[in-house]
Amino acid sequence: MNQFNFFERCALTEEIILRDKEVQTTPPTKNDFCTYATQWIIYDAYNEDFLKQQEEKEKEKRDKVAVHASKKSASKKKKNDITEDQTEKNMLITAKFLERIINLNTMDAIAQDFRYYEDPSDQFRGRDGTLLPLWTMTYDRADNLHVTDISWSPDYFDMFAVTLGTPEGHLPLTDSPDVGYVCLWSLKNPSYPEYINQTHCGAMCLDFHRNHGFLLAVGFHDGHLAVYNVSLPTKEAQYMTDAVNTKHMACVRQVVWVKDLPDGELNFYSISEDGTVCNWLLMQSEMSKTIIVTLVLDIEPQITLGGISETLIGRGTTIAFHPENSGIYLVGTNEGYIFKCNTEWSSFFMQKFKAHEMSVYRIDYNKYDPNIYLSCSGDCTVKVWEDKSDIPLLIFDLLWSVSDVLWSPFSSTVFGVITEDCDVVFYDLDADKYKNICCQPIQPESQYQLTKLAFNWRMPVIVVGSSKSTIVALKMSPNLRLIMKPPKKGKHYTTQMLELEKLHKALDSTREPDTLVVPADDDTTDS
Amino acid sequence: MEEFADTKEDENKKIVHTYPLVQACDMSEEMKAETVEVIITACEKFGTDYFAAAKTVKQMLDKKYGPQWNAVVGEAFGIQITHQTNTLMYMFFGGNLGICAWKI
Repeated sequence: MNQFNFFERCALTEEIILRDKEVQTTPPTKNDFCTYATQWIIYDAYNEDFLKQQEEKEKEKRDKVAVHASKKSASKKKKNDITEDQTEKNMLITAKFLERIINLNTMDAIAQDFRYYEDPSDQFRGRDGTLLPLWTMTYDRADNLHVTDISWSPDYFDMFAVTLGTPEGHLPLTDSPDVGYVCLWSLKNPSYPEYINQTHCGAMCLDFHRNHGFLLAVGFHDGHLAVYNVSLPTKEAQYMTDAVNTKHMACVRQVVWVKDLPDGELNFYSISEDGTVCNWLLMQSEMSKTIIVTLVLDIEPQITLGGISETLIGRGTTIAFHPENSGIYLVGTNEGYIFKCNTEWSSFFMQKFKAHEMSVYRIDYNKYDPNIYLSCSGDCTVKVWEDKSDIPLLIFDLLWSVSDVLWSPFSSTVFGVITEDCDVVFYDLDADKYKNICCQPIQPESQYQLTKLAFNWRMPVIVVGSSKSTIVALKMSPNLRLIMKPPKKGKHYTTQMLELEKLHKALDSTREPDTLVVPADDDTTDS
Repeated sequence: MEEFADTKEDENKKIVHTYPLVQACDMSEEMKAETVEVIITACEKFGTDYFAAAKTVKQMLDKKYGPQWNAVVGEAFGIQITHQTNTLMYMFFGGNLGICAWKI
């Protein structure tokens, strides 16, 4: 080894090793073909083909004639079909009528109770009241679905619509496809729905249009929205969201029709778990979508993905419009926040506060004083709030998850609550601010849970939906709907004023004083 | 007698079929339509120059579907070939032409 034939190690290149590799592909498939062509063969082939074409032409001609003839007979047949359809329709109407009459006869006692029975024991019970169970309605084909929303028809006081579906959080049963139903029930026929419409997936919420009682807006589990016209024989949706562009990204939790625009266009709002509130305008052939607000939470996200922290968005669960000022609305979210928003301003919230520890299920404005509203939540509490305040006036602990709460339309201080252990509870703030005036179990709690509550706007009847597609109609006893009667003597007060006064009297003691009043100093008075 | 034959010949002469008539083909529908198109253009372009027509057909099909294509254009011929499946076209055109195109 000398310095002339010494190579540094890094200057040595590796020897490239060569390897042989063989692959054999399958050869392309081959066919043999042999023929020979001469002038007469070509000539014969042409003649043969020409004859064939001629025959086909004639056949077509004959077919045309035949079709023409058959058309005439077909039109006759159609007429027959129509008459058959007509008879079938008549049959259906008669059958429906028959069913209704039989139901009215068999359930005569209940129908009488519905109209005339007033619990006489109420007068000895102080302010406590009871609920009288009337009908139990079940749609058999969907008995494993939850009642996800109930809405009374604005036109007929004995009719209400119900959506059936699997609610968010409950995965659709693995052995059955995700289906939902929209059903119309009549109190006159509690055995079978008046109208059934199967939907492509679980229906979550619905609302009747107040002026056009045949229009039904429905929100679905997969974010779709549809508008149905229940007066038409067709079950097709009149309007349906586009699966690509317009639909919500997550389950729609509530839809609310609002006042028509000045030029008569119908529009409604929807709230979805994707954190957006949208306005939908019914155009000639489609719905146009406007995102009104995105519910942004101010919390610093705890998880960052690659240094990018997405803003947290509240999953909206419920929406309630101010009864007098239609531009203001409240939104409850799954995280327990309540947002007070305005349709004019989407960039900021008029108010935002943590109202509950768990998901807010319902917010409801008082029917008499829109400054007072209720909210209920999965954290077992119902809270009474006053506008512009972050501190609840009253808190009621129900000890069970509260699925729905609504003010009674009959009295300003009464509200009904349903809990998941199948209790219907009524509170009257005027009678007792701490104790309920009625607590009635509907079913043993193991059978099902209660999901939704709806007050009838005319009769003292409530309907309660359950997780087994059962709907129970209950009659409120007289104590649950005491109305302030205007006094016969003295100043004339309307019921409205008296109810308002009653509510304020009940709430005044719970309000924090506006400013602390310094009691007058005794010494100064002396001197 | 002769007159009678003449009139009959006249009747026959009236019908001269020149449309393309596919005799044997195992191509896909799309390929078939395109191949027929290629052959028609070539044959119409060169008239009686069958050599040029066959050459054009071969070149165009090579360009379209890759080599190696073969084409025969003639009034009378007999062939026995082995071809790849789905690449055979045997048709008549112009009333007196037989054309065969295939890929090896």
